[in-house]
Amino acid sequence: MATLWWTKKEQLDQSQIALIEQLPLRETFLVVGPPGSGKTNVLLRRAQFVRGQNLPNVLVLTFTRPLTEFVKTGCFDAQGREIFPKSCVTTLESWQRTLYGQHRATLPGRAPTLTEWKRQLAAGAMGFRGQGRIPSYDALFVDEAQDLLVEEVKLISQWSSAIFFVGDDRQRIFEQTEGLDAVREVVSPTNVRFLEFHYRVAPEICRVADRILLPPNGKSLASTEHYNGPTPATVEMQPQALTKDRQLEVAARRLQEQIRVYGDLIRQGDRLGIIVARKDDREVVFNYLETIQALAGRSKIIRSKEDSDDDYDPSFDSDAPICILTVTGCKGLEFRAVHWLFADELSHHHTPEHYYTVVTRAKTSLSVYYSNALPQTLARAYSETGVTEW
Amino acid sequence: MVKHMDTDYQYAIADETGLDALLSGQGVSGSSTRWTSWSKPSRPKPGSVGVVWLSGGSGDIIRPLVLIVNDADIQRLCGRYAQLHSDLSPLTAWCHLLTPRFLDTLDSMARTPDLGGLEAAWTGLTVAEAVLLAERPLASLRISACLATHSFAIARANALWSHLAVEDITRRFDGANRLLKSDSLNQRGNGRASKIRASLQPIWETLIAISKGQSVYRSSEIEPIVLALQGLINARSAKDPQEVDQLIRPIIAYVPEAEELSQLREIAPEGRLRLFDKLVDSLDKPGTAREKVRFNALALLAGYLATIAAGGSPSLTLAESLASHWPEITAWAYLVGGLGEKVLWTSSFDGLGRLVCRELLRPLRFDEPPTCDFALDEASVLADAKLTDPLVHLKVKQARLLTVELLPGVNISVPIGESNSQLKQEINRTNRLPEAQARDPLGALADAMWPHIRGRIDDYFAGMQRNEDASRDDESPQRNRGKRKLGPQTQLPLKNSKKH
Repeated sequence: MATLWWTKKEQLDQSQIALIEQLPLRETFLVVGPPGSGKTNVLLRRAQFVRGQNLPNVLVLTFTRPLTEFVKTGCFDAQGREIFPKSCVTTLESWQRTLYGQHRATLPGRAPTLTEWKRQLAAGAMGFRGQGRIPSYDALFVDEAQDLLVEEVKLISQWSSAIFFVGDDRQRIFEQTEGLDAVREVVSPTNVRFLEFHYRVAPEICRVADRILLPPNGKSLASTEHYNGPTPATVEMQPQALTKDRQLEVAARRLQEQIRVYGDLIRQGDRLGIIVARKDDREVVFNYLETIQALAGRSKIIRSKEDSDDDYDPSFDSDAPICILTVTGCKGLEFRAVHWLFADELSHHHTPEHYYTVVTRAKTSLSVYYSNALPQTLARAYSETGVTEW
Repeated sequence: MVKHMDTDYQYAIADETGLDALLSGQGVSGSSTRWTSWSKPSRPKPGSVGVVWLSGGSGDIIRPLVLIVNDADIQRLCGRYAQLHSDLSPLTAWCHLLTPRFLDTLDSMARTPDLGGLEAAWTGLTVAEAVLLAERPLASLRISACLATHSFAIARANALWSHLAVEDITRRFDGANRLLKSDSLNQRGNGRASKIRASLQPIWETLIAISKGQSVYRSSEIEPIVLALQGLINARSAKDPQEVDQLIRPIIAYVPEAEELSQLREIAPEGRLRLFDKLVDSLDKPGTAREKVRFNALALLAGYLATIAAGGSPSLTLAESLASHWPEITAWAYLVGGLGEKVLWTSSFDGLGRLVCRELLRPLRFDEPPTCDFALDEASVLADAKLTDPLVHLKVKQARLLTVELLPGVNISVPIGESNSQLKQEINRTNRLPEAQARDPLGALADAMWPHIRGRIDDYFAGMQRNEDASRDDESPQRNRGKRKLGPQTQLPLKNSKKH
């Protein structure tokens, strides 16, 4: 599959090239950068570079299966040739399960929450390295490091002395995680690097994101953007509440236009995203789109593996460029246009980081629809005139 | 003096006897002159042939480089060598053939093509025509498909010889295809090819008019389009961010809808799409001269919009989706993207762009052997449709593709598919089955028809394959719920399935 996000070397900026090629090979680093700054791109290219330096035993760890599948699309060049082994990309959980299997240990039992179970999973694997059954890795590469638990960071640190973390605290989706603070514990302060500029998110969308979360270093997304995509970009928050059916109707009409006008970009790997809060609503959206002739067969639910999921298929399909996902499922992904349907559903569960993450998944077009009231966080962030301050 | 490196060229007029000696590598019996800048070869008299060769060759052997022949003498010259000196025939496989009208414009042994800065635009148009004819995506297209287009032939001919008319080039192009392609290949897609050609005609004229400036007659039907494109070129040259204003100014009187394009920078991609649809909906078969201008202007604007529809990024799929109905939109879209482009060696059009451009701009050197299989002028004399292999005298050594010189230096690809000789052999083989004919008249009829229907049957099965692919795609809803696609499962050799 041709990939749009896999940046050609001549398109990388000097700071990105320096992170890929000029850092010592056997040290641990943390790279922090805003959405669209090329963190995942740098991560994968760095892994490819390190592998070519006679350090073949590398592994790229991502957070979710959809994100793994997305990163795997970057393992191929525009002609569909594999340029980095996709077998070297896996989820953190899958890697830990493999460790349990290799050390003939039993997985932890049920826990009250997913976070608690993940803590137990990582803690239970902590002793494996000492058994000396399998060699350590030449280098490990960890995406979305802001969502790591402290136990997970410790476990990863046991398995390689050269770890390359990338992350952004403002894109933290999972609560009760320690964020990048846990990572900073294992990285020398001199080995923390920043990607200042970003290229993916249009300025109109950056301004919305900047009003959701304040930038930690005082530099707003809008002030560091070097967006080079289609213009003008659009942010649309529907002016009044609509029924669910009406929201679907409006979104479908826009999608029909977007699938045509972005046809060339879609052919190169671009996608359109529909984001919903509830898992059940993914089916609702999918079924609706299937009834529309121009969109039938063009959408796909992107989700994590569930229990009794024998025929699970998380791969991205170039024939179905419309991806339907949940708020937590969209982590790390990017879309030419994002439609956030039923945005007020479960809004009491959403943190500013959730809103920030969803908004910055959109590269050029963001449309938000709601059934009763536009969530306060979004209402405060949106200005129809595009004025940044008042 | 006409020199290339440290060599110079001799020229002589020869009668048939002298020509035999010259072409065999022997020296000239009469006098010869050096070709200098003040002493060009003179036109040969009827019945005689001018020969140019390189002096100072090895030993006594000379190698003829160019034959200068009057149009009326080509038939006898080529026919005579095919019959009496077949070892030297076809002549144009190893030696250039020039008629006086080309000789008169020649001032050296090399000719440098010039497309007046429109190289990228002609390249885009060539690729567009190849895409339209092949009905295949750009990625699967080969360079030979581009070299088999009218657009390439017209561009190359105009780049080398600016005095040629479009009609003259297309007539020779069609003649070459009629002469060399098998009947089935010629018939296949003929209607579509004619439609594409008709839609490209005003575009060729427009580009030629821009290349030649005021020195060429412009019909009133293309004048506003020429001015619009010149405006766009000037705007791009000046890096004017509001280039669209220059484009629409000369045509707005014919297309009032174009006014909306002046706000393009404020229109989001979805809005641009609606504008594109509006322009396409306004397209209608033109009748009057004014309607023709409006039609061409609408197609140009739709093509232009397709190049920037996705907010400055191209959306050529918009134009391609209409290719069967309005091929001119695709042609304009591919062309407009190259207007004003000076860097010609990038991998535009999936890498095809630089290859096409390289062939358009390849210098024609008369001191080097031709790069074609033979010239059309000679093929017209030597091809004989009544022979088992109509091309036997042309000594074709290519399997599927001929390189034919339409005009000096203008080489096009002509797909011949299954070679004519194979085709004839197949007909002969079926004819050698009298018993089958006697026993099974329907079978004999089928055998006789087979060469004529084979292509259609191939197309039918290709269509079946496409349908199967499509039906496989129909299974996608299940898979697209995040579940794996269910493929066909082979029967397992289960014990209890056997009946005892």
